[in-house]
Amino acid sequence: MSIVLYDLVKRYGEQTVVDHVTLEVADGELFVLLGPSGSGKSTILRLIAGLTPVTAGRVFLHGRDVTDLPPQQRGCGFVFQNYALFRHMTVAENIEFGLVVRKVPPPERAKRRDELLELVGLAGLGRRYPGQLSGGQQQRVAVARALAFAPSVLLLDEPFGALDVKIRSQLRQSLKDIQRRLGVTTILVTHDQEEAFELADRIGIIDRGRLLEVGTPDQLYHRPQHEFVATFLGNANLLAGTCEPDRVRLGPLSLPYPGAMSQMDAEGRAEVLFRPEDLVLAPERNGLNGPALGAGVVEQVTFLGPLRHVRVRLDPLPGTWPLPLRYGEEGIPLTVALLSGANGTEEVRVGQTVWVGIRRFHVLPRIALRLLIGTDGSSEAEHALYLAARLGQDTGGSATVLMVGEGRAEEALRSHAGETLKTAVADLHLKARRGELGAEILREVAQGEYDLVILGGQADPRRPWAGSAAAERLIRESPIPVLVAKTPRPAIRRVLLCLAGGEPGKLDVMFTARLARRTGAMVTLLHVHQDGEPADTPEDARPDPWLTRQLERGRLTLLGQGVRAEAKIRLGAVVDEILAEAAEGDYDLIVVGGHIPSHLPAVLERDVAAEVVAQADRPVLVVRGKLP
Amino acid sequence: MMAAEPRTSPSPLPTSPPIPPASGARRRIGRVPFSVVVIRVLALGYLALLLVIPLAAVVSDGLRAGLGVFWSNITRPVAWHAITLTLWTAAVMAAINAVMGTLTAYVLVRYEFRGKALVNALVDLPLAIPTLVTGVMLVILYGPQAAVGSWLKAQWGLEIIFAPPGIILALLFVSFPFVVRALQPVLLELDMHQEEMAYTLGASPWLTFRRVLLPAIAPAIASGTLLSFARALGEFGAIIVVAGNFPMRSQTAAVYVLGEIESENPIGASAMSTFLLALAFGLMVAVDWLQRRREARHA
Repeated sequence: MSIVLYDLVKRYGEQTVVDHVTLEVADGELFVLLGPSGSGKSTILRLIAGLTPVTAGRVFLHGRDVTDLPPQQRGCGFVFQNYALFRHMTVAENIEFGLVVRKVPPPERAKRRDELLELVGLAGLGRRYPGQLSGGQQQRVAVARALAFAPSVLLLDEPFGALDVKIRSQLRQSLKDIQRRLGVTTILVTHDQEEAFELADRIGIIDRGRLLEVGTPDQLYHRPQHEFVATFLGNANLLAGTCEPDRVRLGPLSLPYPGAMSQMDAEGRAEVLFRPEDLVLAPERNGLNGPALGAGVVEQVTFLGPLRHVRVRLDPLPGTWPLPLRYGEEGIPLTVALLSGANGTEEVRVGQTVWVGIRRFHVLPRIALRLLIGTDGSSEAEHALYLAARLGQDTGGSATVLMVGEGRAEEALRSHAGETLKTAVADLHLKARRGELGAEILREVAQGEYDLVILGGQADPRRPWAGSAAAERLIRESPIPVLVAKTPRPAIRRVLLCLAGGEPGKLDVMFTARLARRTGAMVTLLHVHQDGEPADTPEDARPDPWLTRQLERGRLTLLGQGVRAEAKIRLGAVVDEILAEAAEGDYDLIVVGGHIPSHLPAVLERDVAAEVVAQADRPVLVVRGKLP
Repeated sequence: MMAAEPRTSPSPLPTSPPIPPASGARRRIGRVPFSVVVIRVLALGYLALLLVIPLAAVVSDGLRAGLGVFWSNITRPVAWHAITLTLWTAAVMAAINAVMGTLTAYVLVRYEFRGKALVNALVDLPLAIPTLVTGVMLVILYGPQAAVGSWLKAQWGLEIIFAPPGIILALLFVSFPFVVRALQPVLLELDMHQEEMAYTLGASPWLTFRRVLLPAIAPAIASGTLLSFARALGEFGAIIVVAGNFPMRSQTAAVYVLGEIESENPIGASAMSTFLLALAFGLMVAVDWLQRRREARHA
């Protein structure tokens, strides 16, 4: 193995940029690290070259542990995106730099330099200065310079990023030829999937510092194991399904799929991937040879040269929905690829009804909710453990209990938390920390991958934040939803989703859909109308049609994802009405969100979420923050 | 140009009204408007009044009695000693400044440390402190009665005050910002990748500095050094306090001019002034040339 990375970690302060990356690159392989910008892929290259010190983990080059060596002793050929050519040196001097440093005698140097100029197709340009070359030529000088001293590995950081499209594809081909000819083990970093497909022997997909999946381009495209990989590489139609022995179920449809259950969780939750070319269109049901996904209306036809992408919207299918969840989406949008000029495809027109047939599909596991439960051993924290056990049972996800306490208490806490959750959650982790609960939870949220924080809250409305300073802090600062567990409820059957801030938040609706679908809860969307004359009955209220439409959109989003939902409008003071509705309907969970921070100073701004959390006598879920 | 764009490219908002051209677009090419003429005349007139006329006055006064008299005024032993003293102390100062200013600029640009902003602000302080005060500070520190001064005298026999070392110290203090400030923007602009590239190619930090960094920043060092040298030629306040006014010993050219005026020899004063002016002018031309050359290479 030319390059071995073992459990590599890089942190800048609280931020983890490279998160436990382990990777082996074979001799002579051209390996491509592919990921969105900011995913940490360039940092990995810098760690290999020794330009950035590692936080933890080891780097091996040709079996030698180089983790503690300076870049000078690692022998990595490096090409930066901006090439970093020495502008005061000629092309020849640039290429010879690595040889001069190694005190190679001049005649040998000249020979090597001419070979490389020839190799990269710049013979005769050795006496020019970098400023006199085109972008593509500069890039080739950078490659030649990195190769001149026969490096042990070649590392390329977005080498085509600064070039225009036409030159890019030429240079890709030439880089691949050079790499093959020299057989030098290479890692190339890019965010361009087309580039990765064209160059790579194998691809590694990086997202937020983690190496999600490694495989050949074909494997990753056709048989990905992660939703992110499926959607990042090419176009993906993903539908939620469930696996049964040797079959996969998509709502009313049941498709044969040998070995379907093998990699799924006990519930068999799966995502079914249809690439655009895996689907076919026909005007009639009997025009399809294989199984049909359903009939839908053509919304858009996009001409892409050899292909045409047809956007078809299927009517909602009970028991399945498109992934990743999208707000306000009705029915199931699908992208179908047609070969341009193939028989009969010219007739596809916008507005036409067509049948969508399935040629091929792939099944990948669906990630369930990942819970983080914070506890400090207080009686309030008990509620959190109890609620987490309920949710864990319903959602079948993983749970991590973060215990913040001191010494002996920690031990007791550990066994107690274990007992409470053991039977409910299959994938249970226990972690212990010292410090302040709120701060430790935020740190854990920043480092790990969680969907929901659960922690205890004071049920007594007269002392809202007593013993739960962490809750007060988290509902303001947490980037992921926070569930404050108050008086325990036997199950989550009724959810009150409050759209207090006017415009319904998309995030809260989507997150509620996720939660309610898994717990089988019924959702009531509530809008509290503040202004206007107080009306005797809610029926008298006439909010503007825009609001009604927004509420309806929220309801349809929930319905589209298989959640029973109704909409309600109340008149009066926001917090009072929410609490009144919660008590009248005896809801098990209140969801507040959609609070958009205004330009007002924090003191002047009314934080409805905080007020509801403070005054409610039942669990409250606060959803705010960024979309993932 | 801004106004012409919406017409050539399809507007993103087809319903929006056409954007009226900016008022500047009405200006016709080929005829210089009156306002521009006024601005130019103002600027050039101001320059002439403030700079060119006094300069011409001094030069013509210095050369009034002919080149021979000018030359004999310059080459008088006292004058000539003042000139050489000025030049060599300024040269020593410039050499030290080139090295230490480069180091300071590098540290200020490339490293993060507590109090960096404060240090950065301190660099400019010598420009704001009256140079007389600078002289007083040095006398307090290095004077024969002061602790450091007497120790140096006893230990090394080194005299600072009323001697060339004092002049050099004073010059170092007053011209410290020049190299640092000339270099900082260049270093900031210089890509860290260049140095990292050299490291991956096997070059040691010293070799990287010498072969990669230094060639890139040399013109800036040179222009900063020349500026500080030029500034040193005319330094008066700090030197008169630190070195006094002893002909043939610690009298620099600027102090000499004062002496000539006090002893009512305006021709001598003008001659020396003209000489200093010519030197400063030559240096400025050199600095300008260096900067042009750097810009030309960047283009």
